[in-house]
Amino acid sequence: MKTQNAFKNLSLLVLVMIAIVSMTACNRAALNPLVRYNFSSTEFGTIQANFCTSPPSPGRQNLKYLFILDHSASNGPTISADDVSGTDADGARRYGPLVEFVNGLSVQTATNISYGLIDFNNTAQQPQMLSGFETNAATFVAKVTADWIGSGTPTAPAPADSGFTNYQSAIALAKTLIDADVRNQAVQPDQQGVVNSYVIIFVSDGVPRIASSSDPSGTVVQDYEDDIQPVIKEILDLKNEPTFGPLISNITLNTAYYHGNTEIMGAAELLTKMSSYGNGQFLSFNPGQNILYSQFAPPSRQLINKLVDVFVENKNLVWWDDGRLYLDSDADGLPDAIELQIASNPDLADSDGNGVRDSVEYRVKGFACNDANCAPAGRDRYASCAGFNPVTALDGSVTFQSSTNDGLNDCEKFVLGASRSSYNTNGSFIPDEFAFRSGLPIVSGTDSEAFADPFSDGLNNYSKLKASLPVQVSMRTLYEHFDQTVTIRPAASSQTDISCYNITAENIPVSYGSNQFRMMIIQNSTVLQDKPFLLNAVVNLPPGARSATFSKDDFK
Amino acid sequence: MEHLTMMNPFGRAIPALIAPPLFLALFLVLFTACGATKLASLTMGELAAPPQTVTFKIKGYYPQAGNVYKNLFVSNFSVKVKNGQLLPSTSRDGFADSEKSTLASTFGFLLSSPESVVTGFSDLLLYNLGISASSQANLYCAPAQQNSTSNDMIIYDDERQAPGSQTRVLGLRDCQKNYIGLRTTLFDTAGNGIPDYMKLRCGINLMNRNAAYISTASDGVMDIDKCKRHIPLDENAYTQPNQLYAYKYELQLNGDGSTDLTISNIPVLDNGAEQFIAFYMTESKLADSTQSLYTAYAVLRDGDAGKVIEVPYWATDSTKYYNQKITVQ
Repeated sequence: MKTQNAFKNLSLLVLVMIAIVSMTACNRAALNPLVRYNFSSTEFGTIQANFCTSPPSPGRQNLKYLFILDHSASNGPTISADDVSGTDADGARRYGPLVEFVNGLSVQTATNISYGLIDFNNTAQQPQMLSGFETNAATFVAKVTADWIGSGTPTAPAPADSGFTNYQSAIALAKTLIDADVRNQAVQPDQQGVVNSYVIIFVSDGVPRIASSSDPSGTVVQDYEDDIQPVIKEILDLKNEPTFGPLISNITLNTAYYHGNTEIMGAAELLTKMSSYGNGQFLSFNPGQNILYSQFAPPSRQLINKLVDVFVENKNLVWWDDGRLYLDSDADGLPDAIELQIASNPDLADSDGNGVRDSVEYRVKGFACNDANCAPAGRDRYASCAGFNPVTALDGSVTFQSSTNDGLNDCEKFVLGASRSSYNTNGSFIPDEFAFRSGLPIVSGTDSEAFADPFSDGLNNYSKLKASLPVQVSMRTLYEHFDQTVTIRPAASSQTDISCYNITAENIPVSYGSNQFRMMIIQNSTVLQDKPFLLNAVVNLPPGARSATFSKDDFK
Repeated sequence: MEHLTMMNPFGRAIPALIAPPLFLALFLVLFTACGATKLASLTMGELAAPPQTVTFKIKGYYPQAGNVYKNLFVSNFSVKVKNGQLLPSTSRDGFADSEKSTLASTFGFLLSSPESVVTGFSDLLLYNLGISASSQANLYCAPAQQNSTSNDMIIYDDERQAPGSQTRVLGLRDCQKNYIGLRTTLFDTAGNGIPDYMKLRCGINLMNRNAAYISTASDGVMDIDKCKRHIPLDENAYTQPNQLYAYKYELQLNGDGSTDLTISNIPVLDNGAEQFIAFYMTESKLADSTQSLYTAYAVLRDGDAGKVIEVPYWATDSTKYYNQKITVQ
C-alpha cells in the first residue's frame, strides 16, 4: 500500500511537471525576451502564400546580325558559258532575301535586334554611310536597298560588283565593328549586364583571290591557315577579353556559298572550314537559289524561371545598431525611438517631403532632415536627383519613381550608390531595401558581406536575415531570440515550365501598433544569364490580426 | 507479494500493461506538439521507404602537387529525387523518365539519349533555354566544337543501346558553352567550386557565384550542399524522404598522408543494375587558386545494391585525370 501511495504521488508529480514543462515550452506568451528589444509585443504572426513561378521569358540579350556580302566581279554578268561568274548580277540572290529576312525579324519585339552590313571585294567597307550596328530595321532595310540598287533602278538593280574577293579584309573589318560595338556598350550604364550575341553571316560566290603584291598583273589566293583563320580567332577571342568579354554571350561565323553552274574548286571546303572554326553553319545555294538567311538565325528562346529565394519581414519592426528590435511605425527603416530623438516624424517615412526617406538621409548624412524640426521649407532638395523625374505635389513635397521594385526609389538608390536597374545591386540576391533596412551594405562589391559571419556565431548575415535576426550583434549576446521560419512545399502545376509552391512563414514578430507584412520572392533563370528579379506581396494587417494570406496574383 | 500498480492523479489504478506506453505517448505528444515548427511537413512526398543504397570508398586520395582538395560531387545519374520520390532516369541526364515523357510533345525528347533531338545539345539545356521542337532546326553544333576544352564532360558507351550508336555525352560541349556565353576553357564559370554541368543539373545559376550559397527552400541548408547530397533545391532537406535519400560524405585522413573519401547512402534502383555514378573532384591551386577538375564514372551491375565499393583514386597521373571509368569488382 505504501508503495502504491508512492506511485500515486509520483504519477501525480510527473503529470504536473509535464504540464508545467509543456506550458512553459509551448506557450510563447510566457516568454519575455523581447522587452530587451524595446518593444512590448510578445506575439508572432504567420503568412500563408501560394506562388507560381513566372512564365518563361525571352533571354535578355542583344542579338546583332552582321551581314558580309561578296561584291566581287564574279557576281556580274556571265562572260562565257563555262565561266564561274554571273552568280548574282542583279543582287536578287543576296539582297532580296536579306531585305525579307530583316523585315521579318523586325516584327519580333522580344529581343533587341540590330544589324550591320559589310561589302567586300578588293577591300571591305560599310556601305551607305552605315556605321557599326543599326538598331532601326527600317533604316537598315533602306540602306540595304540602296546598296542593292547601286547604279541601277529599283526595278533593275545593279549592285556595284567589281574587283577581287578579299576575305581577310572583310573579316578584319567585322572584328573592328564588333570590338567597337561592345566597347561602346561597356560604358553605357543602361546596358550593364545585357549580353550580346553576334551572328555573322558571310556570303560569297568564290575563293579569296586578291591582287598579287609582287606581280601587278597576277593574283594570289589567301590561305586559310595563314590569312583567314587568325583573323577569325581575333573575333572569337573578343569574348575572352577581361573588360568587355563578359558582355558577349556568343559569336558565330556562318558562311554561305552561292554559285553558278560551275562550282569553284575548294570554295565550299574553305567556307566550311571557316564556319566550323567560327562555331557556325555552312550552307550552299545552287544556281537560281536565293540565300536563306533565316537558316542562320538562332532559335528563339524562352528561359525557364526558377524560384531562387524567399525573404519575409514585418516592415514595422527594425533591428537597430544596438542589436535591439524597435518599433518603426512609418516603416522607413528608422526606429520610432530614434526619430523622436532627432525630431523627425515617426509616422511619416519622409518627414521633410524631399523624396528621400528619413532612414536614407540619416544613414548618409547623420540626420533625417536638414532643418532641425524637419520643416519642409528647409528640406534638402537633392539637386543631383533632378534627372530622376521628381513629381512635386501641391504642398511642395517631392516623390521619385522607382525603376526597381525593391522599395528604394531612384533618388534613394542614387544617394546610396546603388543600381537603378537591379533590385539587388551587389548580386547577393537580397533586395536592396531589405538589406539596407537590416544594416547590410548594398553597393557593388559587397556581396561577400552578405555571406560573412562577422561574429563567428554560426549564422552568416544572410541566414540572420532569413530568420529575422539582427546582423549587428552576435547571437551570443541575445538573451533569447525567436527564429522566423519559412517553409516551402512544392505544389501541383498544370504547366511543365512553371513551378508552384505553398509557402508558410511563421514566427514573424508583430508589434502592438501597425504591422506591414512583406514577402519577397526572387526568381532567376539557371542558364544563359544572371538576371534575378523580385516580386513582392505586401499587406497591412488589421488591428489585432496576426496572419495574412497571399495568392499568386498578390505578388507584383 | 505486493504488486506495483501505477495510479492516475485521481488515485485510480492504471493497468500495469498500459502505464508505460501511456506515459511514453504523453511525452511524445507533448514534445511533438512543442517542436512542430522545427519539423518539416511530410505532406510533400508521403513517407518513403528506405531505398537500396551503395557506398563508394575512394582510397588513397592525394591532391595534385601544389593543389588542395576543394570539393567532391558524386551523383547517381540514373535516378532523380523529386517530391519525395526516387525516380528512374533512363537517359541519365537530369530528367526523370516521367518528366521527359511529359516534355516529349513540346521538345521531342526521347528517353534513349541525353542529346536526343539536336546533335551536340543536351536535352537538359534545351529545356532550360526553352528551345522547343519548332525552334530546334537552326541549332547547330559544329564538329570542331563538339568536344570539351575544359574536359568536364563524361563520354561513355551506353551498353544498353545498339552497337554503333552507344556513345553518350553527359556534360557541356564547347558549342553549348559558346551558345550560352560560357568560356570553354573553364569548367566552373562562377568560380564557386561546382562544375557547371552539376550546376545545370541541380538548377543553380551558372553565372552567379553567390547562387550556391543561398538556401532556396529556406531550410538553412545551402544549395551547394543540397546539390552534393542530391536533394532538390526547392525542397526542404528535413522531410523524411529527403533525409532518406541524402548522400553522406566523409573524409578520413590516413597515416601515410592520403585521404579516403567515403560517399555513402547513394540511392540506387533495380538492385543496382545499370546505375551510372559520376564523380567530379575539384582542387584549388595553392599559388593562385586556379581550379582543377578530375572526373570519373562507374556503371553498377545488378546485385551491387548494398555493397561498399572500394576503389583507388583514379587521377594518379595526367592520363587519368578525366573521364576515367571505374571498374567495380
